Amino acid sequence: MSGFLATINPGLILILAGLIAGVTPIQRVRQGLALAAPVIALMMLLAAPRETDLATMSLMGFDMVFYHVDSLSFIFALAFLIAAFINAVYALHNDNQLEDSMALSYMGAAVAACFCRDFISLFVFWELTAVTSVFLVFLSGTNAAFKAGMRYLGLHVLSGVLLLFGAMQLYFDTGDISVRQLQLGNPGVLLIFIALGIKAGFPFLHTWLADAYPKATVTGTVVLSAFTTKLAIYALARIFPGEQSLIWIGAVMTVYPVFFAVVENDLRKVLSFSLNNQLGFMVCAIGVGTPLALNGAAAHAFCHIMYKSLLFMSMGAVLYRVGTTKATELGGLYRTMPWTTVFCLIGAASISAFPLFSGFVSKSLTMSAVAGGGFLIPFLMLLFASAGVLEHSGIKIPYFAFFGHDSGKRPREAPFNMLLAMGAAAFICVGVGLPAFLPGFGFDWLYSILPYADDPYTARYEPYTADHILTQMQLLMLAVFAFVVLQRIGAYPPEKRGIILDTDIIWRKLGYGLARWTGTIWTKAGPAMSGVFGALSARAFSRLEAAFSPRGTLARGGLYNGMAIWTVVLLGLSLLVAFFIR
Amino acid sequence: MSDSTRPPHLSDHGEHELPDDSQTTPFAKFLFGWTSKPWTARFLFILLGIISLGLILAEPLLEASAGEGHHFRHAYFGIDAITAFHAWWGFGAFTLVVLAGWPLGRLMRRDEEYYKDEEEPAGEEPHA
Repeated sequence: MSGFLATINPGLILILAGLIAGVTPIQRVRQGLALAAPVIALMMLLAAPRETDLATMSLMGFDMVFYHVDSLSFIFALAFLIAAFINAVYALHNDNQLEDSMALSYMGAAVAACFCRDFISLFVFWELTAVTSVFLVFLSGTNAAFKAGMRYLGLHVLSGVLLLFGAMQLYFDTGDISVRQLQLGNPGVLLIFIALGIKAGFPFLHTWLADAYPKATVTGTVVLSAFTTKLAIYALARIFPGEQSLIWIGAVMTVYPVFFAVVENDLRKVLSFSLNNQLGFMVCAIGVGTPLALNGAAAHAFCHIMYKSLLFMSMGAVLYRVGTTKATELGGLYRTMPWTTVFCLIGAASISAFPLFSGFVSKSLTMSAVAGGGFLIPFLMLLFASAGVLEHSGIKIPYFAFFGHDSGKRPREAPFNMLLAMGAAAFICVGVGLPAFLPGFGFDWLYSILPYADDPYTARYEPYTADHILTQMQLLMLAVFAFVVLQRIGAYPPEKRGIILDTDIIWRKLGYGLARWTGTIWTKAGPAMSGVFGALSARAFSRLEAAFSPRGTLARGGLYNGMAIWTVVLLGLSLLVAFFIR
Repeated sequence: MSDSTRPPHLSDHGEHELPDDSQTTPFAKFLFGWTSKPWTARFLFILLGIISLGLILAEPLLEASAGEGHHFRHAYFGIDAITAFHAWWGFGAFTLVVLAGWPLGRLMRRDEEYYKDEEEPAGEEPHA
């Protein structure tokens, strides 16, 4: 690769393609750009030398590093670029100039952010992901999508602002703006931690995820599912590995979305809760912080990007053909959408971590690291959440969409490009999950690109032991058996229309109510208060005018002697004050 | 009876009613046709029961075959050393999550127009 090309951050190629797509009305050209940009960027990434600053700049005294590849950024960028290509195939039928442009720019910003090694350039791409991705929500065109998009934008811009404030505080304290491992304790570091927490969907900061993602466009949700949150996971792994609070934050993240998902009717929203739950596994692993655990987080992120995209793609195909993803209105779709059903089942098996699928080989690393670290309660919570994942993503999604009671709907199979994209994602889900029959085959390939691939424990880690397979199958098959038993005795709660309250009720109901109440009070109190202020200021003005105007008291000279005395007193006081202050 | 509460394959009169398979593709029939047969639920119940029992019983057998002083399964804590711990945990966790859906649904489910400033999307125009 030529010297100049080697200094270009691959994410910029996608951003450039996005800019060109934004001014190109011809769909074929935009399709070409969307397919070619990830391939070119991938070739640049594969050719890039590791562990060296490839593009640097000094701006206003800050040393900025735009492009630095190491094993951690490599695996995340690789997953992003594969997902970008698959998303491009999935969206080939879509003729929307703005959506194409924003999706490419958004994916490019996420890729570019992986290679930034200073907080200022990280902030730029961090914010760019927010302002471009929100269009994927807006473009649904509904009032609900617009409102959810505004809430999404608000939280994500806040995340960027906190990141910048934190970085500046850190710079003033340490004189170092580089992205590096940090310890909580410094106020600036805490701000950075919260900024990352918003994007990673920490508890109480998570509501944007299940609020905005299900309201985005058919293709937009698939794009959104792969990038924003995994960029935050990358940043957490880079900046806060071994931060113990993350173990508990992650464990809580795995558990609570399970309960939301079980009662949710919109299957794309169920997948959003499921996404939040999966992030918990990665956050927990980052908190453990050992090389094995960080490998687990990275492997999980890679596999998760593939199987979550696959699940969102299958639900996107359902939305595209049927017009809804509400469980109450679906069922029996396998009859006319068998390929979509097969791909959805592969995604479901992968996320549930069945042996021979990708989730099994990635989640095993995390579970072993958490258990090996002696974290009993988080381990049990993760195990509980694993059964929960099976419930909502492994069973609920395929069962209520494609099987269950027959809705009578007979839509056509998904368009060919959608099937092709789902097939590619399914191929990766299976390919990565297979045993390593040969060196570099199956999970061995995934393990070879992990950030700490040379860690001795990871190097000899074998997911396909009889012990692992048996315990995982016990967990999953008994959970499936529980589903069948609960269905037979009528204890499985029926799907019902409605929305499920989340913690965002605090600002969507109470906060909104408070804002409305304040507005009402102000409209009533404002005129009254301005009347009082008007009367007071008029009275003060008339007094001043009476004293100082050409026809006023002072001008008439009636208080001449008194004025002289008061002037002396005031000057004396001024002298005393000046004396003591000095 | 509303769609949300209708059990699979029951008509309004409670009789078993086979769904219309006239448009089902041959590939779909081949792969998944068995799922809509009247015997499917019972068959799955029995099959999964046998598989579950086999997975539970396999552990002590494999443990015994590991030999004196050796363990087939590596337990990290005391609790996960219980025989077939993962099986009990999986069954219990799944059951708890599903049963929690009843009170949680009553507690947290609201009408779709609950947030009055916006209506939930009714869905898109399908590209049939």
